[in-house]
Formats: sequence, C-alpha cells, structure tokens
Amino acid sequence: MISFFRYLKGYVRIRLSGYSPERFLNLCKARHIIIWDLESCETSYEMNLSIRDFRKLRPLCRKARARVLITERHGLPFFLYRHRDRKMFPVGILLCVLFLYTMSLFIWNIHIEGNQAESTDVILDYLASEQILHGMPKSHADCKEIQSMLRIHFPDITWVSAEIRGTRLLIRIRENRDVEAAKPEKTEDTPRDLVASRPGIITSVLVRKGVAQVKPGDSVDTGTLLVSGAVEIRNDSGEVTDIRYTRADADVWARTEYVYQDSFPLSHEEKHFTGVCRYGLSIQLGNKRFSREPKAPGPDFTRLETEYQLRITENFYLPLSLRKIRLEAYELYTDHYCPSQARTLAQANLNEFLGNLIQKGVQIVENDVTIDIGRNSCASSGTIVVLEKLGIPKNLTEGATILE
Amino acid sequence: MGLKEQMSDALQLPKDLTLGAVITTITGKHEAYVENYMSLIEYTETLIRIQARTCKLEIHGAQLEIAYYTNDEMKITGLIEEVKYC
Repeated sequence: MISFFRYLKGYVRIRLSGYSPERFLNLCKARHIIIWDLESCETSYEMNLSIRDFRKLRPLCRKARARVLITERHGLPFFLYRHRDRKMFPVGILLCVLFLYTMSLFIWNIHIEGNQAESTDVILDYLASEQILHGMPKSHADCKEIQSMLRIHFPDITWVSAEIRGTRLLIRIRENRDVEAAKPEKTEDTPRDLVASRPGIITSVLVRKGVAQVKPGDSVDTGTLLVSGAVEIRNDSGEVTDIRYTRADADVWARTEYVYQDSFPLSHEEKHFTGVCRYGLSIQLGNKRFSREPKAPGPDFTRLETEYQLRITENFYLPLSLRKIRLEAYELYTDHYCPSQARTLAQANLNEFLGNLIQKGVQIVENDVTIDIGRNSCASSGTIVVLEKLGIPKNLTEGATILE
Repeated sequence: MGLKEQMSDALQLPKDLTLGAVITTITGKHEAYVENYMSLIEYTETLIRIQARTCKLEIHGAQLEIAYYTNDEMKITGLIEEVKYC
C-alpha cells in the first residue's frame, strides 16, 4: 500500500557522496525528510526519497558539502512526463470507458426460458410490437408491465417473471400444460349416415348406432348406404309412426381391390458431378444486396446458397447476412438399368405403395402384382386385395331430431 | 541509580520518555528497529553507529542496509552480528 502511494507521488533514487554523508542524513532527519532503502556502497550512499523532499535538498547539500546525483526516477509523474506526447492514449481509454458505460444502458439480449407451447419467436414478435426490442434503453423497460402484458396476451402463461440483469432481459415463463387436456372434446351431434367410400364385398358389419342396410356378402358400390341414421319407430301393428334421426356409428369391413400399375423406362438420365466447384459470396445489408457471382463452372451446374445471418447474443439478429454461393458442375449421361436393378426399383416402388396402404389401416389379403421387364421399360401391374373399413360419414338434412 | 531513575520507577513511567533511553527491537538476525535516537554517526556496510541521548549504539554485521530513516524510527536490515552500547 505504501509503495503504491510512493509510486503515485513519484520518487527518485539518489547517490550521495562528499565530505560527510552522515551529517547530510541527520540534517534530512531534522527536516522530516523520509529516506528509505538506504544502502552504502563504498564511498557513497544510495537512497530513495520523494520528489517533494528532493526539492528541499539543495541547502542541505551546501551545508553538508555533499554531492547528489539522481540515478533512477520512478513513479507516475515521470511516467506521464515521458508519455506527454501521447495525449490521445488516455483520451482513448476514457472514450472506451465512456463507450462501455453508454452501451451498458441498453438491452442487448432478450432471453426467454420455460416456454413450450408458445415459441420464442412468437413471444419476441409480440414484445417487438409492444416496443420491447433489442437495443432499447434499459430505463424504458418496465419489468412489471412486461409481466402483465405477457400474462394478458398469452392466457396459457400462468406465471411470468421479467428481470433485467446487466444488459440482459430475462423472461421466465411457466405455462399451463393442462389447457389442452382440459378442453372438452367436441361431440358432434348432427345426425349422419354412413356410406361406402369404395366398391367392395362386405365381410362384417358391427353397428353401434343406426340401422344396418347391408349384410356380409353384399357387394357395394361407392356411395352405397351402409348404415342409416334414420331410425323408424313402429307401433304394435308394424306401421311407421315416427322417424328419429341419429348419428350412425359402425365398423363395416369389406374386401376391396386396388389396381396397381407402375412403369418406368429403363434408360434414364443421371447426373455425374465432375467435382469442379466455383464459390461466390453475397452480402445482404437491409434490402440491398452486394454479391460477387461466381462464373459458371460448366454448361450444367447446381447452385447451393447457404445463408448466415449475423447476430449478437442469442436472439438479436442484425440486418446483415452473408450468403455463400456454391456452383457445382455436372455432366448428364444416359444410363440403362440392368434387369436386377430394374426389379429392385420396381419392388421398392411397390413396397412403398403397400406401406402407404398399411398405414391407412388396411389388411392386405392378396397381392398378385407381376413385374415385367421389357426391352425399353419395366412395368409392374396387378391387383391387391385388401380388407378395409368402408364407411364415410354423410350428414343428414338439418332439422332432424336426435334419438338419444 | 540516579534520582530520575528512581522516580520514574516509582511512578512507573516509561523510561524512554523520562530518561531518553534508546529502544532497540531486534527480530531474529536480520531486522532491527531503533527508536528514540538522535543522529547517525557512521554508516558503512559492516557498522552502523548511532548517537542516542545517553549512549552510543553500535551495530556490527554484514550487508547492513537502512530500510527507512525517519525522525522517530529507523529500520536496519542485513546480517546482524553484534550490538554494543558504549
């Protein structure tokens, strides 16, 4: 600590020689001049003393007939004097501090955590519409207001906390995850019939509501009424007294056929990349775009652009983006599938078709697709017999009463 | 024992104030603090002679250095071999 103050005030190391150095030291003591690191080297003494005390030495030197020589200079005053021509240096330091301080008055990062249903972008867009933006002054951000704004605008946010920490605006959100589960299931109560979606032969009928109009073994066409939503009420003598309409509900399974046809030519064009690439760069600043387009590497080429948008912190995107352009040349040439390749390809196409069917929930019963490889093309055709649920709802006319 | 000493003994006064006695505090072999002295008579690397009010103090040693020298106190560092009152 003492040495720090000594450095701040500045001190010199002097060499003392002459008639009576001890007398000089005693004179210093009498005048309250503080001396430290006194060293005797043969005929002379070396010691440190502060600049202010050094100015008082002249009469003492005369009195003690001593000679004083400055050997070293230490401390801030000397440092400043040495660097007096570098005035811009401290100015730069000052400006830097000022810049940091000014920048710390703004919000540079909005961090949102805990959101699952509402995406960060949605929340940021909403905040931007309420003038809560990256780069806004910290003093304009009222955390309590942000909290209540978010709670009102997003009803499923049950708890929100906004906090400014440094230059970050931290928003923590707790969402009510039961909102969707709590929603009552919409029950449609309009009366309806069930009609066949495809032609087929009925294999089984299971009616939960309504009156079955078909029985197993019947063959139906598209649009045939399967289950009627109109229930006739009869009296004791079997006469229809009233018709009640209900929402028909049934599982009607039928055996249906799908015709599969696929063909492709054996000769096909294939791209062969030559490996010649050309690169370019484009910079987009706001709406302006500066680009250096690469030369075309050949007659045919693919173009790939990769965009990197510059951003500060996690969510603050700058209106400046870099785009890397890559052109890669290729040559087109025609190739012929050999029979085994063609068969594999046809089989793959068929499997994809069957996979799609199975995903729809049908059972495949028969599959007699044959693959023919001709001279120029490969054709596969046949029928696929499946078991599937027929029955698509068809609403009845309005105004009908519902049978409960 | 003089009258002054007897009185300061009886009144339990510190002797450095009443008699102007020199105070020497030596820590180990390498450090010595001297208080209540008048002046420096001689200073070399091997000998420091100090004039106190009632006597002279001689410190013999090697590589003796005065770390600081103020009106009230001085600190001597180096290898101290002998302390003599004369």
